[in-house]
Amino acid sequence: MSERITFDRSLYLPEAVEAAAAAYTDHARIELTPGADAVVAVISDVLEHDPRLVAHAFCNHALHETIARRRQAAVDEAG
Amino acid sequence: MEQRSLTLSPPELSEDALGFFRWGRVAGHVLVTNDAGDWARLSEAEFADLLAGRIADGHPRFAELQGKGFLRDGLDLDALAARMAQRNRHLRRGPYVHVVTLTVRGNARGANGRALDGLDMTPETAAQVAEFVLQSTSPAVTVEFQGHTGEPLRNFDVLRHFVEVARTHNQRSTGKTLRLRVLSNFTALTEEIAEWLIANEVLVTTSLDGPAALHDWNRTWKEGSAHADVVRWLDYFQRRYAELGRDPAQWHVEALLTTTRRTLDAAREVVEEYATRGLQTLGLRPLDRARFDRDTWAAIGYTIEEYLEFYRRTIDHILEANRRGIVLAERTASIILTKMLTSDDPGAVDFQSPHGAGTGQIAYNVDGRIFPSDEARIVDAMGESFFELGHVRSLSIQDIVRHPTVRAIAAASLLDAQPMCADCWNKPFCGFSPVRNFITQGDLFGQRPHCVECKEHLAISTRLVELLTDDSDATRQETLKRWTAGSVHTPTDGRAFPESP
Repeated sequence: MSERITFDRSLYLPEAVEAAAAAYTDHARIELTPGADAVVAVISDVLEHDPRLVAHAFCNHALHETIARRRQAAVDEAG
Repeated sequence: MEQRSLTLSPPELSEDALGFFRWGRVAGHVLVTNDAGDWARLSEAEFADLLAGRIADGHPRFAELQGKGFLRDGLDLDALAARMAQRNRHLRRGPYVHVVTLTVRGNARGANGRALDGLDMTPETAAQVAEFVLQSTSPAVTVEFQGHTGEPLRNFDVLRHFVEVARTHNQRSTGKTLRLRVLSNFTALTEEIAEWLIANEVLVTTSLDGPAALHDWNRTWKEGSAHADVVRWLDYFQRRYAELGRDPAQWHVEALLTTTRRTLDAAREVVEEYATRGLQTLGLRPLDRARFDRDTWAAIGYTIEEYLEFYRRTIDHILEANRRGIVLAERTASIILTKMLTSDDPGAVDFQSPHGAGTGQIAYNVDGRIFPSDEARIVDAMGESFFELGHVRSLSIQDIVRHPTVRAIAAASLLDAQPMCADCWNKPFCGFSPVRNFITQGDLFGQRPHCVECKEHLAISTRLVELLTDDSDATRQETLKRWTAGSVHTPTDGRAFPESP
């Protein structure tokens, strides 16, 4: 069983989604397909935990990685 | 391996008959809760009746479950919405807890009372912060001069200047209810300063870790006064408040406890010490593993399971003291009980959804930089500027509450949107700090299975429900009602867990 999640580029940074996927390699298999408007993640082979819980936590982590990167970019831009 | 088969049948479900609720099993019963903070304990049979739509007029639980909004039949949506609005009124209030760091000097260094460049807040910055605090839309604000980074009374001249500017500005223009509180370990306290604090209505909080042996052992790794000095000043303030005829419900010294490994074996002794000193609130919280190096943690640390066992025993000792007529409540329990037993929010930012960092609480560093909470300021002191919002010179309160970092904190702590929290029966009574998640897990959102606050809050709520629904002791239920924040003074006016000075 797998779950497909679309991360729209208007909110999520592709590199943030990649970082989140890398952080979740111990919990599930996550395949990313970058597109022009979005990055699509397919989550499968979830280990140990509830697959829905892992998918939601993965999404949160992708959002955190985006927030952290955007925050750093704003600091860098300000000098 | 032996194979066993288990036949599961889905419960009979009549969705159209149900209001919105979350549920869980507590002590052999089913607990249902909703976003207004209403809750009911049901037997398994009653829960099955609820799900199946069999609780109708004439059923013994009908009136209660209808009134609390768990049934669609006769649901008073306006009343439910009003209860939810009341419970979340802090969202419309504006920042009401302002934590000010006056100095980052250690206790043993620096000349008492003389500002040191970069280590003390200057009078100019203090005046800017004082005026900034009063920009808040909240009709009541509390300024807390925190004492865990540096003893605030070592920069007393600036504290006095801050208070004078704030009082003058408030009388002239804003007219808010202004509360001032200093967290002090009493190492720099003199009789002259004590009398000034009393005359200028600045409340006092200090550290008291239990009886002398325990308190003084903790001073071997933590700065602060010896037990005898703390007790002497405690008595001084209590005596002077009484002499001046001040209302003891408001005018008494509060104390904060640091729970170390040694404390775990001294639950009864700690309760008796607080009772003996006339303290009305005992605040328990576990140490934060992330704040200590390995050697220190090996000496003073413990697991969350060990802490929760200690917590349970301490609650039992406090209830036993209450039976002897002693007024004492545990702070975390008071906050949760207020959420469980009243329609109000106790205002503790750590138990709000979303968390109150930046919207309920703001912290100010010695140099005038602003952070959404004191915990966020500590993260900056550890070398990570992630939470810095700007400088008091160049920001307004509106800039703070609209800041992307504050909005990110709100998004990360909205329990309705968090995996596990969204479905948890404890959701209306809980909250977590994204800043703490950042410290412990490197992620604002954090993962609930790794969240110590989640384990702690759920265990405490579970124990409180057990106590509240234990029909064998009706007086205990009445006692716990008196623990609610409306009856017991909450010492920090919004900060559930300030650091011990």
